[in-house]
Amino acid sequence: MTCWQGLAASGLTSTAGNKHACSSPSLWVGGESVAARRVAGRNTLVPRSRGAPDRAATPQRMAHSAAASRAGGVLLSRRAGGARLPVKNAHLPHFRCGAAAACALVVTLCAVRLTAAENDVPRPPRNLSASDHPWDGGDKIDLRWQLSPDHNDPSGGGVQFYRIFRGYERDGEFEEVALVPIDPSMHAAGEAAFTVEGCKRQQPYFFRVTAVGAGGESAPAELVDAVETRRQLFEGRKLVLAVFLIVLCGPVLGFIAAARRGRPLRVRRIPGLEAVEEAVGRATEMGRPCLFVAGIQDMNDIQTIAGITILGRVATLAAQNDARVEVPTSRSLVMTAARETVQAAYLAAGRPDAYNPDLIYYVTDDQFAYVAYVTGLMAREKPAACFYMGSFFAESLVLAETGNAIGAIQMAGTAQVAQLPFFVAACDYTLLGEEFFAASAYLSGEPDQLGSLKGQDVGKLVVGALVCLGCLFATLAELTGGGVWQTVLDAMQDYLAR
Amino acid sequence: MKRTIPLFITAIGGFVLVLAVFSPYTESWGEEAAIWFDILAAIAFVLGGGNLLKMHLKKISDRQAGWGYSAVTVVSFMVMLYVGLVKWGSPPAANQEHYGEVFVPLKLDELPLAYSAEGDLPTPPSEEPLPASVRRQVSSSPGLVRFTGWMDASQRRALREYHPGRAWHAVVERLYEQAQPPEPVRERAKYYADQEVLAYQGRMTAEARDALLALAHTPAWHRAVTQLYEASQREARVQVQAPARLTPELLAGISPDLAYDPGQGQLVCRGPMTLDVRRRLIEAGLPAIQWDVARGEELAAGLAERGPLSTAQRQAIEAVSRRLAALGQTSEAEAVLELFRELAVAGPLSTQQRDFLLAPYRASFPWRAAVDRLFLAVHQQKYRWSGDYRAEGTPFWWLYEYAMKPLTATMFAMLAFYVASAAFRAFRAKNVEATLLLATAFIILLGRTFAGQLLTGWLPDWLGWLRIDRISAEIMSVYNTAGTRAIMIGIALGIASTSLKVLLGIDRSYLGSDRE
Repeated sequence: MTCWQGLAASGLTSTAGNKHACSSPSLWVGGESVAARRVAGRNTLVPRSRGAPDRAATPQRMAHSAAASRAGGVLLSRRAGGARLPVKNAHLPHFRCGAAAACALVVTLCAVRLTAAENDVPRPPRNLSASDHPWDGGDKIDLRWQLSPDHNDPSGGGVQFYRIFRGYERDGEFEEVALVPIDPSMHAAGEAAFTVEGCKRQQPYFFRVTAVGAGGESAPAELVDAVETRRQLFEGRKLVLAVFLIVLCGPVLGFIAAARRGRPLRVRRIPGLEAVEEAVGRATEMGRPCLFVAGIQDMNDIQTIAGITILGRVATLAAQNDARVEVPTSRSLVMTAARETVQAAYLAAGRPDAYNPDLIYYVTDDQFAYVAYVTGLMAREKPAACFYMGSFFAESLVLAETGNAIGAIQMAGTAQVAQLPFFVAACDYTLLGEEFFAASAYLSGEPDQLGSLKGQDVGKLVVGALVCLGCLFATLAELTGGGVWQTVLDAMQDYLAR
Repeated sequence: MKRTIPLFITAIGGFVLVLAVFSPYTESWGEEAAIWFDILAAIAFVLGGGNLLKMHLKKISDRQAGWGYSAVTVVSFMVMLYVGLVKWGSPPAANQEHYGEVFVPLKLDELPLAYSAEGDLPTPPSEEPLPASVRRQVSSSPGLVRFTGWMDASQRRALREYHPGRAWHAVVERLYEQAQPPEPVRERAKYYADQEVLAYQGRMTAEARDALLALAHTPAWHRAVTQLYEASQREARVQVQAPARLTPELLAGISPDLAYDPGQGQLVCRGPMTLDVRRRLIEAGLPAIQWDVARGEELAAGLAERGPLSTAQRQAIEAVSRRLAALGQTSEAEAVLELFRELAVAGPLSTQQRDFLLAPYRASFPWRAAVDRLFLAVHQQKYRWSGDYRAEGTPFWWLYEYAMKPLTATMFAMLAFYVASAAFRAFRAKNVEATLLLATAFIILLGRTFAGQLLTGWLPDWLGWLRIDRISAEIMSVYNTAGTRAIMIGIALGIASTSLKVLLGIDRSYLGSDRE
């Protein structure tokens, strides 16, 4: 890790070699740095105007430059602002003999070679600017800079990558935060951009960018004023999700409003829900209880809430028919909610006296311990009707098969796609995904709730249209070998994936 | 009102969570809501436990059918609760014990060591609180930052990282320089602010005690230092037959607090023992040998006499021997243990072979045990309940490992039989749809086993699409995925719609009634 120190702040720079190397590979610290002082002790230091490009150098290169100077050779300094400046102490020797001339020639050639090597070091990038990344949580800063003039210089090898440093104080310590590889789009734009992530909110930051080429690392382009991040009110990346939310929820609210105004709504028949009454009636006739399992998740799972909603309907029917509903739960909060629901159902049915809270109880949080208890209960009590409504995992088939073995009429509903085949195979009626969530509206028959089902249909229409568009674009891209269709498809995927 | 308040809470909580997704400003609100749910769930857990006890005790009391099972449930519940809560048999956490140190309680406000440096406590832009490790010890007033107690290197680092400014770093450095124990006790005296204890590593000398006492003259400080001094003088002895190579000089080289009393045959330690001293003491008592290849060959011959020795095992002995020989002097017990590990991987060993091989290690056991007894005898236990209740070897762990897990696995294993019985019933070709289902299931089943490859793997490439494994993969990746996605889209829309109804209070049936 390397950090540049603010040479511009110190206003000093070396002309012989004019490169400052720090002995520490980790941090380069500013105008008062050891490296700068070391160079100052050996070479003449002249003030450098702010913004004039400086060069990175290695200690070896500085040593070579000094050796060449001592030997009396011609040393051409770095390119500064495009002009070549003679080194202050360098001079052209006067040759008095052939041997001296030969020595001078060798030294001159060495110096020229060294200068050429120095020229491999790219010039620094320019006009570095930074701004807070818009529409984010205040942890990103956008950087933009003009490419180094040597960005694409074929003679010097060009720039291999840009290195970004971040500091908290202008003349303080800087740490490397990113390496930006060369991108073909940079050539076209003549500038590069990069977003630095992981910044602290409202913390002023300074940045420096250097160009790294085959010959070394350029002096940094510096940010004069600090930039700080701010937390925005809205997360821009979530825009597509927000639009979808409005598109999907808007029709739901719209149809609810329409239903309240008296618009007639028709809902298709769902056999699984119509059979609830039949199942409870059967249990009453047989004099056996109904068993209701609300899944094995807690109340923060929407499937559990949907399951408890159906429990309300089952409990109402049970209260009306004088049947018994037993609800073993695997979560304490579900037990509490289920008790409230069943009590209210009995109250609504005019049978508060028939409500028995002891029939709704907590068993255990452990998945298979719960299954062991419930299957044991089923084998002993032989309920006439079993309802599995909620979130299920591996226990789904164990429960459903046990219910099947005891000859109970079984109804299941879950949004766990992997468990649906098991329920379909072992239960009499299964509510597949959305039917499970539609149960509350279906069973209540209230216009408010039926309106929400109609709104869902609009959502399906939107999704269906997007699926068709996607298929169309993918087919066209395949047929035409990519092109504009592939671009459209990629853009679509990109937006939808956000 | 009974329904209105929960509805209100649900709506607020729900909208906060939705907002937290879209607005960075409300990100933390979502986390807060999740914490509140956890708190509620924890309270409900107690409720659940109480309910479980009530139900089963009632069943036992009424002698209902199956009350014996209830009795087993109640007993198991109580036993697990007890061994889990009291952490029975759970050793204290090693990172909390600070081995080799004694300690005495001393309140932070009684600590007379306060250091200050000119400067201001910075306020980080994101309003982060001070690091937890120094929060209690750092205070400030305009132009002055104070630190109570001694600052260690990790606290210094935490303070430096609190704010990147160089002015603040300078303040931290000034505080760090000041907030150090005096020279005779540097690196030994410590103050743990979180636990509010004054600690000392090793045995405190009278000089060290005086240096500490000279720091302040408050009664609390005097009492604490005196008690610490006394605690660090505690002596413990264990009976042991000292190894021949253990000389007084060797013991003194390990620690000046160690001694051997030949008259009583006791190993003596004054003051607490560090983990490093314990390790070195054990190593000092074990006979060291110069391993060479000949010794390896001798061992191989001995092993061969006592049972079969495979080529791989012989090669393992050679390899380990070469490695040990290169190391120079080594403990024989450790050497044979390493050899045993390699041999056990290379092949089986008979009981006689194991006994023969591990004899030196077994012989070293009394010495190891004696050192460990001494280590524990001089150790002042700091946080008895800091260990993990599931630590290996505890009763809780044993019950979980040998009762709970096998029972759970048994229940899970039954699933295989249920799958078979459900498949038998579901795949009966009663009509066209069921026949299609049966055919598809058959292809998938064959495609997922070796049978598919065996039956159709010979088909030439141009008929490759007829290979069962390919058809199986096609069905799963195209038809099955399409169907699954359709269901998932419906589920997603259903969840969105249901959530909206719940948040807006349109659907209240989960609260017991849709009417107030």
